[in-house]
Amino acid sequence: MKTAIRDLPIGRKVTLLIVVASALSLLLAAAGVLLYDLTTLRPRVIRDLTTQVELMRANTTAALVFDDPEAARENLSTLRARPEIPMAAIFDSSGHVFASYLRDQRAEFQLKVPTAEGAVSDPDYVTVSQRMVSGDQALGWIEVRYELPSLWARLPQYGLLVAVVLLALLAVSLLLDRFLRGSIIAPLFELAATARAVSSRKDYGLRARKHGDDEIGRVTSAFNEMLDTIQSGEAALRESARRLQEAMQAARMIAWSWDPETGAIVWGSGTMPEDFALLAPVRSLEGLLELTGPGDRDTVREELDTAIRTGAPCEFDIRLVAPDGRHRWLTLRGQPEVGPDGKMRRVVGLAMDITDRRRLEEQLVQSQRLEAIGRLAGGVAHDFNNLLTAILGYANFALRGLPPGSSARADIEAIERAGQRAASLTGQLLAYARRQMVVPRVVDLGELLTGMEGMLQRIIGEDIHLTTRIAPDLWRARIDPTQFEQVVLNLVVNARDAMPGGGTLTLEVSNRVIDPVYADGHSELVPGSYVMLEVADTGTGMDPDTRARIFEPFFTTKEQGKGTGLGLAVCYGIVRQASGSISVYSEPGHGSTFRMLLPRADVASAAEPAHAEAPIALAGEESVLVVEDERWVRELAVRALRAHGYQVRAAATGEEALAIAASAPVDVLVTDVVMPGMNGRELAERLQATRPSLQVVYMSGYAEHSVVRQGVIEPGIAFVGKPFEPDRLARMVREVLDQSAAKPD
Amino acid sequence: MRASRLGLLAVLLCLPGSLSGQGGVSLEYRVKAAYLVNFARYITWSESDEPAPGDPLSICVLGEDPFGTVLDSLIRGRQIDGHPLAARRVRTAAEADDCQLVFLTHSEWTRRPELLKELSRPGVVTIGESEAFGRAGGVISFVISNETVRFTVNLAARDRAGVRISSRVLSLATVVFGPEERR
Repeated sequence: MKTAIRDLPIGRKVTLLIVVASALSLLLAAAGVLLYDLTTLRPRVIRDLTTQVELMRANTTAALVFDDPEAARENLSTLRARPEIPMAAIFDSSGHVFASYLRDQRAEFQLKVPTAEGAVSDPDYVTVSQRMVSGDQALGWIEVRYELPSLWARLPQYGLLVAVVLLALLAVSLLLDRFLRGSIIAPLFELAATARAVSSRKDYGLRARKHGDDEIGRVTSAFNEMLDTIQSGEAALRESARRLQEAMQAARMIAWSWDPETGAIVWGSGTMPEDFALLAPVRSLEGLLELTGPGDRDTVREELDTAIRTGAPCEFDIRLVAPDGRHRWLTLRGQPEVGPDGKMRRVVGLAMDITDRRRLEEQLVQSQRLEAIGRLAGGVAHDFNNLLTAILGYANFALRGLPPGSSARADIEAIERAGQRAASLTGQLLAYARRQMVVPRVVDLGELLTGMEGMLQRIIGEDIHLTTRIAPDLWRARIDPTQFEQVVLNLVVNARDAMPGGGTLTLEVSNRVIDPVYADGHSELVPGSYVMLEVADTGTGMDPDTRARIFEPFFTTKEQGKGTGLGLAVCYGIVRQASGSISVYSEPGHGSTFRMLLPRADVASAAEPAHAEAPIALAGEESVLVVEDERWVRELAVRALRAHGYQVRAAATGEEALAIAASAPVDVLVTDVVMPGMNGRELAERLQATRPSLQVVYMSGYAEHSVVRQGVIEPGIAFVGKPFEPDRLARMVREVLDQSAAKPD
Repeated sequence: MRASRLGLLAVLLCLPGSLSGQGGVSLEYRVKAAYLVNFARYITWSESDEPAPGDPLSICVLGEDPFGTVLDSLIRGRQIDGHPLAARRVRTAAEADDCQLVFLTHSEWTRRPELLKELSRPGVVTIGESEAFGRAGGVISFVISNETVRFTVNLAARDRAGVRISSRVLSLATVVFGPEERR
């Protein structure tokens, strides 16, 4: 009931209030009237009746006295004028009825002689009795009864009144209702409709119409003000959301959330960035895991489980494999959300596409691995070169004293050949490690290639058709020609081995301009002009895994003993040393194409004369200080120089050399570059500080940065690479002395 | 019905007095005796004719007394307006000089005209026993109607007597002779 009233429209409430209040007051008034009537009716009736009885008594006493009941009855019958009096009776002195009057003849009254004078009140009647006397003689009694009008008989009168007033009230209420509808309810409905429109359409630009300055008007104003606030807040929110969306897109990020209960994954909001198109159909963790590699699945589950269990943030990378076989790397970071019950409800976070970074990282790791291998190879080569210098040097000395055709000579020559092969191997290691001593020149790759054609044809054999294309107006490139030939040779041998059943080998040299866009995808390239060498075969091709490791040293697909595993690694080292790049395009069954790019060289520097080794005299008497920590090399050098007449002193360390130089003349310093303690370069600089005319010849097994930059010997520095022939050292010493003498001091 | 009513009336009328000595008196005269007393109650005398305070109001029986002791026992000890009631037997009109009510019995029927002439004076209410008495100038006459004792009133005679008779008594009278019938 109370809810029913509460849910009533305001108009109905007000109407109801008015009706109830009015009806109540009306009823109260009616009750009051009724009460008044009741409390005053009886006394009035009694008074009235007593008068009536007295009159009747006076009029009938004589009838009683003279025993005339007819007269008495006649007298009593005058009461017919008073319909409210149903009965009157006169009793004689013996208590018998003398005369009586009954309004309704059929009514049966128990006529009993009264016992006392006065009024007796019954619920329905008032009866007044009086003695009839004549003088002092009691004659009898008169009794008249008055029938009180029934309360219920009166009610209809009041009821009618109430009904009329109620009807009037109803009419007033209806009018009021119409008024309320117009002035209160309609504006309220309009306000409600506006509110509903706002919430359904999310259009915070809507405003409710104000009808007046009453309470509803104030509510409307407040509502509109609230809309103002919401609108500005909503605009700010939308702007912020838009910025966030843009930022996320720019950062290649997408929001995600995972519900551990259902396993459902929900991706971000708005449109799915293109980078995450792969994820668009993914709706659950299982769906996501299906896209990842088997190795990632346990990691992902464990990370998420741990996050849910501990509430700690989680971070993990996953690799998605697209249907086309391409990979995408994602890193997911998340934070469990604590529900109101303290339990972890879900994990929300961001996913970032890190495919590019991953690729760069992989390339970096690859480079670092190659670098490390190179460093190791360089170190090994250094020691080997020292040993080979001794082996080859002493073999050389030994051969000098042996007549041609002697058996010992043949043995030593075998040692020499083996040493040279070892030196070649060491050279390849150094080449790969980019520690090889190179003498780059500006060259025409086309010319070099043409010069190699005969040799290449012999290498590839009959079954393989060789095609060489050389673009006209080819730009020059700067590279050590020997090294270029080594690269071509290695690539051709590699191609040949990939075509055991024959095929076509195509060598092509052309100009190529690398634009910034292309350079972006290749970390080793800078935009610019390049000369490109392509070596394409129609061989077996390579799978991606092989392709990824092809330039690693000692990686080989060839049978044991067939290759060193250094060929392509050397190519890589050489090309990188020449500031170029080398890459391979290959698919299994479709052959391979190696593409080498070398920076275009300035034509101006093309005039560099080819290094010609002119036969010169080797002998001299100048003072030479040989500094070498490796005893065999040191002694070999001393012997080689002494053999040509030089005054040679030897030292094992830089400090020793300084001490010797302090007390003896030194014209030429022949020093190893890499030594414990003071290195060769430092020693040379310290000695030259007091002897500006001191000439220096460096010896080294590999390109060391203190003397050479990027393996390229600085101009003006005399350098003898290990292993060296004894005469070569002597020639280099003679050269620097002669150059110094030729210089106009 | 009738018998019971007379019986009732007898009880009513005899109640105040003793029944001793009344053995020979008929019901009719017992009723008439009671009526005589009652008339005294409903008749008002003028000041000049009313006995002095304390003096008795006399009911006189002129002629042979039919009441025996009934009348005496009825009035014994009774007063009306301060006057004790008295019952006297008189023989002549002169003897009834100070009577307020004079009942002329049947025995005096023949003397009626003279007696009426003599008694027709202020202060005296004459009561007879036939309607003719009333027509002849008596104030009140008993009549037997329907075996019930009733009475008539001659208003002209009443006026001559100079008394007032209560209208309630008049209303009970069977015949009321109007003043126009005085001729």
